[in-house]
Amino acid sequence: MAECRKYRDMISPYADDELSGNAKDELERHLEMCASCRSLLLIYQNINVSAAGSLVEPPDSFTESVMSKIKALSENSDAGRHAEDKHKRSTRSVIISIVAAAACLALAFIVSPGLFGLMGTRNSASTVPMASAAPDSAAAEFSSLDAVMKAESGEDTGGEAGDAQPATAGAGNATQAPLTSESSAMPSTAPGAAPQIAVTWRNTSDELRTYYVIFTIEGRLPDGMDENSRTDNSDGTFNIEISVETANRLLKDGFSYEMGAQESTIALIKYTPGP
Amino acid sequence: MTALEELAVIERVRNGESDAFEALVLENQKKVYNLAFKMTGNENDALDISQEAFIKAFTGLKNFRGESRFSVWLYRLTYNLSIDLIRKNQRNQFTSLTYIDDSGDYSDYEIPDLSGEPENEIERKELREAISKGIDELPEKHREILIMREITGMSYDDIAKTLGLSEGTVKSRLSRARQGLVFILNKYGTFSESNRHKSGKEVDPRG
Repeated sequence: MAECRKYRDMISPYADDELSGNAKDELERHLEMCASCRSLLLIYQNINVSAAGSLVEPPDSFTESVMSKIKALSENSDAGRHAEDKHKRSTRSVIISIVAAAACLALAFIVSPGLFGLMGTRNSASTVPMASAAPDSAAAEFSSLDAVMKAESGEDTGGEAGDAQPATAGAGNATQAPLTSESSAMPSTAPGAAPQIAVTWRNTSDELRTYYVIFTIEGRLPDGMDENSRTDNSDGTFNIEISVETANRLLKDGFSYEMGAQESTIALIKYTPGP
Repeated sequence: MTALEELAVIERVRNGESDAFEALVLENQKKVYNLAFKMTGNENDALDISQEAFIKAFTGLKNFRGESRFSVWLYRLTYNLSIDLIRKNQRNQFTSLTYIDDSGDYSDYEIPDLSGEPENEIERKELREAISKGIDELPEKHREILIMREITGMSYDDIAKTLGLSEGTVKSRLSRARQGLVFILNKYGTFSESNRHKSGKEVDPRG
C-alpha cells in the first residue's frame, strides 16, 4: 500500500520511543487503521524483546579479572609517579596501543615500571620480558617491530606451531606472571634508542600475512597517517591502524615507557615524539 | 545506578580509590561483553575486547568529561575496539564487504501477518535464534547499528555520536536495518503460521 510506505520509516523510531510530536500522532492514527503496519510494529517490538532475551552472561571470572588488571595498573601507576619525579620531561606524549592479531598471535609488549595512562614522561625506558600467558608458549626479545615481523614469518621464532590455542587473553588465567615493579632493576634504554620488546605468542598461523598495529594516540595525528581510518574514543584519544614501517618510525622517535595489561593481547606503549 | 551515583563513583576512582571502579564494571559488564560478542561473533575476542574496554575506561577516566553517561562512553570504546579487530580480520582474509547504502530499501518485502506474540518459551527461543541469525546476514552497516541499538539501548543521539553520523541517518539506517531483518526472517518463514505451530520440528524450507 503506497500510504504505508510513507509510515514504514516512522515505525522503527516509534518502536524506539524516538518519535514525537505530530509525526507520532500521525503514525498512531494510521496504526489504528492499518493491520499491516501494526504487525510490523509488533515484529519490531518482538525483535527488541528477543534481542534483550538473548544476552549472555560474561564469564564468572570477568569482574575479578578486570579488577586484578586495574589493581596492577594502579600499583604501577604509583611506582611510575615516583619515577617521574626523578625524570621530568615536558614533551607531549602519545599513548600507543598495539593490538596483536588475536586469532593467530598474541603479542605482549611489556614494560616497567609501566605507568599506563599517566601523561607524564620519563627520559628513560626499561623493559622486562613478560611471562607468557600460556605455560608452553615461547617468549623472545626483539629490538624492533621488524623482529616481530620476522618472528611471525617463522624466520626467527621460538613460537610453537601447532598450538591451536587461541591467542586471546584468557580471563582469570592463573598461569601468567604478574607485572611487578622488579623491572626497575632492568637496564635502561637511552631516549631515542630502539625499545626492547618482549614478545610472547602462541599459535603461529600461516594465514597471518600482515602485521597489524593499532595505535591509540592522544592528541594530534602524527604526520603521514590516514585521517579517515581513525576511530575516535571520545576521550581525547583515537585508534588508528598503521603500517609496521610507520610504527617503527614512531618508536624510533623515542618513547618513554609502555605498559602491557599483563596477558592482554593489547599492549600499550607510551610514545614521546622527538622535539 | 543513577547518573549521580555514577559520577560519585567516578570521582572516587579519580581520587585514587581504584577499587570503587568495580561498581562500574558490575553495572556495565553484561552489555559491554554482549556488544563485543555480537560485533565479533567470537567469545574469545569478546572477552579480550570487553576487558580492554574497561581498562581503557579506567586509564582514561581523567579524560571523561561527563558529557554522556559513562556507559555510553564505554560502549563507544567497545565498539571501536570491535571495529578495529573486524577490520584487521577482513584485511587478513583479503575479503571485502559489500555495503548497501541507506537509500537501498527492501520495498518488495511483504509484511507478515503476525497475529500475536510468541506463545511459549519454545517459540520465543526459536524467534531469538532466528533473529540472531538474521542480524548476522544483514549488511555490515545495518548489522552494527542494529546491534548497538538492541543490545545497549543507546539513544539515537548517542549512536549518532558514536558512529559519527547525523541523527537522521541513524533513524533511517535503523529503519532499513529492521526492514532488512524482516525481509530475511520472511525469507526463512520465521513468521509464517505453519512454522510457528511446528515448534521443535524441522521445517522444510521448500514449503
